Amino acid sequence: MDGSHDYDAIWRESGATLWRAVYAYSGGRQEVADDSVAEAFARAMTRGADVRDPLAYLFRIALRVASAELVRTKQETGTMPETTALTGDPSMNGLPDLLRAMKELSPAQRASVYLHYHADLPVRRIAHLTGMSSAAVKVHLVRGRRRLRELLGEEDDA
Amino acid sequence: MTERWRKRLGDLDKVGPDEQVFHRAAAGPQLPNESIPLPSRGSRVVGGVAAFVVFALAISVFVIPALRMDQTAGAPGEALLPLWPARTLDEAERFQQNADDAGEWYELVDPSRTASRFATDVMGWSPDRLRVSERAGSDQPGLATSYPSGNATAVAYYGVPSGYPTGYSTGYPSTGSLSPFRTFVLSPTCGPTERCVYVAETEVTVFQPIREGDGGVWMVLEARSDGSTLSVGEGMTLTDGDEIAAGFGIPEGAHVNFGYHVGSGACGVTVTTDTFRSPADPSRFILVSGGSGLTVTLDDVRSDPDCVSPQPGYIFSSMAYEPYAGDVLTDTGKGLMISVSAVPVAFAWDEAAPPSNVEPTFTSPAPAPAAWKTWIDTLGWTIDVPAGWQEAEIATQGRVSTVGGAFAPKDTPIPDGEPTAPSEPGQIIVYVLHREGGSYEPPADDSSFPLSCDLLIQPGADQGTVFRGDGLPFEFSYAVGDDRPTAQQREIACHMLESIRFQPWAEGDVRNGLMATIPRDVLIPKIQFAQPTEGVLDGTWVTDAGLPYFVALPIDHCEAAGRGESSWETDGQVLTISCADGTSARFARDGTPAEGNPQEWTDPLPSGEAIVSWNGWVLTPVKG
Repeated sequence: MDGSHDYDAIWRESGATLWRAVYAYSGGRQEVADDSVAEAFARAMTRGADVRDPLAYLFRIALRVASAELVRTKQETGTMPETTALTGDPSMNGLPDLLRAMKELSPAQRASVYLHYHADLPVRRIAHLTGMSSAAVKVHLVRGRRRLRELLGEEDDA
Repeated sequence: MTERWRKRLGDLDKVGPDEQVFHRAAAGPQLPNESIPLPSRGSRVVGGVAAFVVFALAISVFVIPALRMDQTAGAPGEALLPLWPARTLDEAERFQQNADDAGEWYELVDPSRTASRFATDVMGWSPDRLRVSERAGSDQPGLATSYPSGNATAVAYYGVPSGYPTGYSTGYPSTGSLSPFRTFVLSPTCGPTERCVYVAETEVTVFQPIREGDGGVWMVLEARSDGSTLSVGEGMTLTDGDEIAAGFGIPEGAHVNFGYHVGSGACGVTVTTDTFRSPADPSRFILVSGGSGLTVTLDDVRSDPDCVSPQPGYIFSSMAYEPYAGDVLTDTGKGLMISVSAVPVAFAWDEAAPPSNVEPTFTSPAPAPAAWKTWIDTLGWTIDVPAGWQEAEIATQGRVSTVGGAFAPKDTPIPDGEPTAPSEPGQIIVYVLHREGGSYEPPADDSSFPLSCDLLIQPGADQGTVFRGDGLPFEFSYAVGDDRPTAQQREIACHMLESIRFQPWAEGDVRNGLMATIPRDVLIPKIQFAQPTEGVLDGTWVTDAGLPYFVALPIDHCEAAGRGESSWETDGQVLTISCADGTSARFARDGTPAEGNPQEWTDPLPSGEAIVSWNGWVLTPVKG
């Protein structure tokens, strides 16, 4: 064994969570999520055993690529681009509304909310993966949760 | 029972990555290295980043040799040349004529409009995102420059405020007429609910190059943006081989541009560095310290028949979110500039040229520093230190513990422990220290940066001041081996004091037991809360008439009591906590519980005043 990581296994176990976190972070931009995650894996594989914590490395690189793309796009157009069109696809029922609500949050709030409240990652783990402090993650969670409550409602659907 | 918003997050499972995303990775990285910084071990990227050259800010001494005229004039007593919108007196005359004829440049008779046009035309700021304010005292006349005859030199100070230490004003009295200089601060505006890109506050100094008083057009003489320092003072004369430098606090993803322009009118040569892009962490707002250097090379100028020595020119630097390298004062279509700094200088070559970096008019035991380096303290603050000096970390334990740094030339021993005066005449040691464990100091707002040399009051054997950063008190002092520090020693200490910086606070940052909760200017005048977050900040705060205040709530106050989820509200005087099971508790602003509170909430809550960080965040105490 040369100490390299099994990125196939990492992809199978965590690729979807990583991708959806970036997807949420970017406000529902599939191309940003695709490019960011692909670039993150490409760089991780290139560095081989130099990467000590591959999953954290992947998250941080992917989020940084996504962030750079969000800034670049906003500077070019002056606005955040519209979410990748999902309306009209009945299988996506509800997702456009969710993404519209998520766009009211900051990118960091979106990613934190997704990773904690849906992917069930603890705060410290999110902080480790994203490079934020635990305190910052907690603030993002509180504010993101509050905003989503306002936009999507508090009451149980049942 | 799961809240609706939380259930809706499950909709994200309806999308997912295609396998092709992973297979694409096999083709290798597609983006250039510098666009993707590697994850840092720590949470900050500070100075000396490997992808950028480390910095050595070559700083001129305060004595400023006279600014040479352009080729159209040469007699003593002539006026200064503007930087913008005109570069020569002939151009300025045309602007004046246009204003006299009530043409499109008439607005330049109002100095604030000149400043405003600089922000829009040069920096690309939107006029409805711009605030222009005049710096207090800037409308006082300053000393005009005069032009030398023979080898005499003159000193120019612009808008010298009252009370400025006269010990620094070495030089000759003005021989020219007084020219008013006024300084305006250009600030970006951003609404409380807006998310705006960072641009730097910028000062522009304006003056009337053609005619003083009513009707005279005002033009920009100098511009300086926050986080962007130039090594050259206005009016310096530069020649081949001179090193010039610029230092920056670079926001995420910003591109840096630095250069110089020689000449005016028919003679014009511009030299710039390649644009450099910050490797700062894009997931948080961090200013990376860095710099750039150039060696003045006048071969192109020398070979241009339109260029005759000496020539006026300027040094400039800028930052932008898009790559840009060019003459920031004259290029159009640059887009939004984060910062622009420019100072007028003169360039000279051939035997008749005056020496660059004119000798100081005071004597000093050692040459003025030609380069500086950056010390990064364990508490996160940075300071410029002369490049040839030594640095010593101070850390003492006892009833009062002390941490910080001591700085001195290499030939000056730095004793361990408490600040001590050097033993030999001509020696100097500078200290920056934080102490804990002494007499109680109530919390207070951070100081404003840059610190002012006015804090180092009257010259004496030992000089010092106190300041606050990141919620902590600090002492700055310097001690000399003589009875009195020399002017150069005072200048070095002054530069070091003014260079002290702390890392910007961002939402959620925790340092020194404090957490950044909300921007101060969002706070006023509304009553605001920061909701408690589990385990770290168990505080909610209330403001009243602009006073940041916090009341610390128990962690998960309702949940911990088994009463369901918590919510709270306030009218500014009474804080009400409500639980999902319908119970509630009330507290006064000072934390006093109301009568009738449930049993678990009958103790007073910790409360007190929050402080404001140096960059405008309300900081409240945290647990642990």
